[in-house]
Amino acid sequence: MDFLTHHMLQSSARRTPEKEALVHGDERLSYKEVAGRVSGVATGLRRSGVNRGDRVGIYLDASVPQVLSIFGISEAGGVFVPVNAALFPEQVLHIARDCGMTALITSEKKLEGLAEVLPQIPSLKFVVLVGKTSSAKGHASLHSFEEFCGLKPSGTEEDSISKDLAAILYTSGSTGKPKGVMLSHANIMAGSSIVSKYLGITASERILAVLPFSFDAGLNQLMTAFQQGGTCVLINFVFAREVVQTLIKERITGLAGVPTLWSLLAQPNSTLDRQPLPDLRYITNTGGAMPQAVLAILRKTLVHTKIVLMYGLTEAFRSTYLPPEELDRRPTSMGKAIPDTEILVLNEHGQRCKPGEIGELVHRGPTVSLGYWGRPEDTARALRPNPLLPPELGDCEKVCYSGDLVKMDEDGFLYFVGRRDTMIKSSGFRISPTEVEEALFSSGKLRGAAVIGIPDEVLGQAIKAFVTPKDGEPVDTEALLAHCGQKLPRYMVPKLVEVLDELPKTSSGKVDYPALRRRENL
Amino acid sequence: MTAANELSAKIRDFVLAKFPLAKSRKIGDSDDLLDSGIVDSLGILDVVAMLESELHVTIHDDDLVPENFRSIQHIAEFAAKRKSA
Repeated sequence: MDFLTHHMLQSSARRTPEKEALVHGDERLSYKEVAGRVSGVATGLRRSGVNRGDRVGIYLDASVPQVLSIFGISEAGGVFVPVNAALFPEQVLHIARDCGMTALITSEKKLEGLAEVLPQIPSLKFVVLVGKTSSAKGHASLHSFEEFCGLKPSGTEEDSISKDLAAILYTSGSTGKPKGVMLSHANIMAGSSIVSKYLGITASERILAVLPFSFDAGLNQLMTAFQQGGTCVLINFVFAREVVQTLIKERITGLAGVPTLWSLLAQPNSTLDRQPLPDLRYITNTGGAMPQAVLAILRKTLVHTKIVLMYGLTEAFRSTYLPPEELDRRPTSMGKAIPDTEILVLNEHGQRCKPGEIGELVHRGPTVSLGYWGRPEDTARALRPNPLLPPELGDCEKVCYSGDLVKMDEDGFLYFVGRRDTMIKSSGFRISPTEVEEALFSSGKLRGAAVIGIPDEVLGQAIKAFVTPKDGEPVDTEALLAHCGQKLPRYMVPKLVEVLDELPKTSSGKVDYPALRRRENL
Repeated sequence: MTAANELSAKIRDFVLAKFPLAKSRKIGDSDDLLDSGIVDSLGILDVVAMLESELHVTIHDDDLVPENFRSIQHIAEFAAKRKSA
């Protein structure tokens, strides 16, 4: 019986040891090879001091070692924490400190940038380096990833169960620094089974993983592929045509993306329309609504491909999908609940909304996460007892309040209306306004700063900053943005800055975000 | 300053201003921008927009390949070639 994340890999390796499991550029690994190296990594981690439940970070670009690390940490009984490779050392430091990281798997190149922050992680016992091993030798706290891969399985008995914590995915909310969403092994496996079911994923699938594994939908690509015994193809790309070339070369059958990817692929220079893609069975969109113009181009270009619009939030992993046959009738819908899941639309009193009435999307099902690491209050806000259960059942079930406002039509299909809070979603990333505002403030030139999301054709939302100068000094907006660029990854840097004399305030003296949105006619 | 040098200088200024990692890593004209993650797929759109609007370079669909954008020098050579064509 498979009940832990790495069991999915082990089962596929037993069923089809020679089957191609993982591809990255010229590297091609069978299930047997992946499972063997993963066991080596697990042995290495355990010998170096990783115990059951310890958090191990993975700060690597899309690569074979990144995948081996995810499953290796699981097999070692640890908790994997995939860190987006686009993050800066300061953000990596936040994650490492927040989750009390025991070990970090990274590359020589990334380690250089981390040199300053590593001593500030008191829990960190050791680092595992991918690639060059020369610097790893003779250093007590540095281990070689490649050496780990070659180790024999230790035969240690497994003591984890499916309710144990498997992963922490860091994501932003409306305030503060990113929070770690805790996923159990059961969450991850339910997510794989459910998505495999409604997309019809089988062992013949060849999935191109373009989304980072630090993102729930990205991680799900890898998990569904390995659970079903299919092939997961990794890519690092800058140009949309590199994606198209990989689709052709690797005969990709499934591709999941965020609106930004589709906008890039819909441009003529992506060459998507130059040749048919008969193998591409489905594409899925998540992380924001696909612009209708882009959807129209993709439907015209990808005539053999099913287009599945999906919605999910990290706190509940995956939530809804629109069956492709409904696309004509309801192109702006988020769809219906995924299998074994119920989506409730609730009003402020915890009652069901009538069709057409706006309420909060509340998710119940086996992918509801365990909450936020080390943040019981935030967890209690997001995960609450199901208000619709009969009292006899007590608080036996937690449901996930998404913060997304939606409405349901007469047939039960959902439509996104907006956010309950000020959270911004750009290029598939959740961005907390306060984190961007802090970076703006740290320039020392501002008295006030507030950011909102404004519609953007490629990004979904772009960030617009409103700032008020300190002491009436003129603000050099270019310099301000350059300053933000030093502090934040590119997707968090505002696209536009407007200087105001005063920020609009509410009667309680807080920034009046709705007023800022009205200024932009939103 | 020759026309080619001027083109390089403008591209260098743009890259250093727009991509803070390029500045903090003290990127030279021949240093890699793509594999290093300094310029990502959205960053390329900004570079293309700048070449078209500010330097009046006409970019064809088939020009959007890594070879033309790998470094400041590559971008400058590509822009010069397109301008003289």
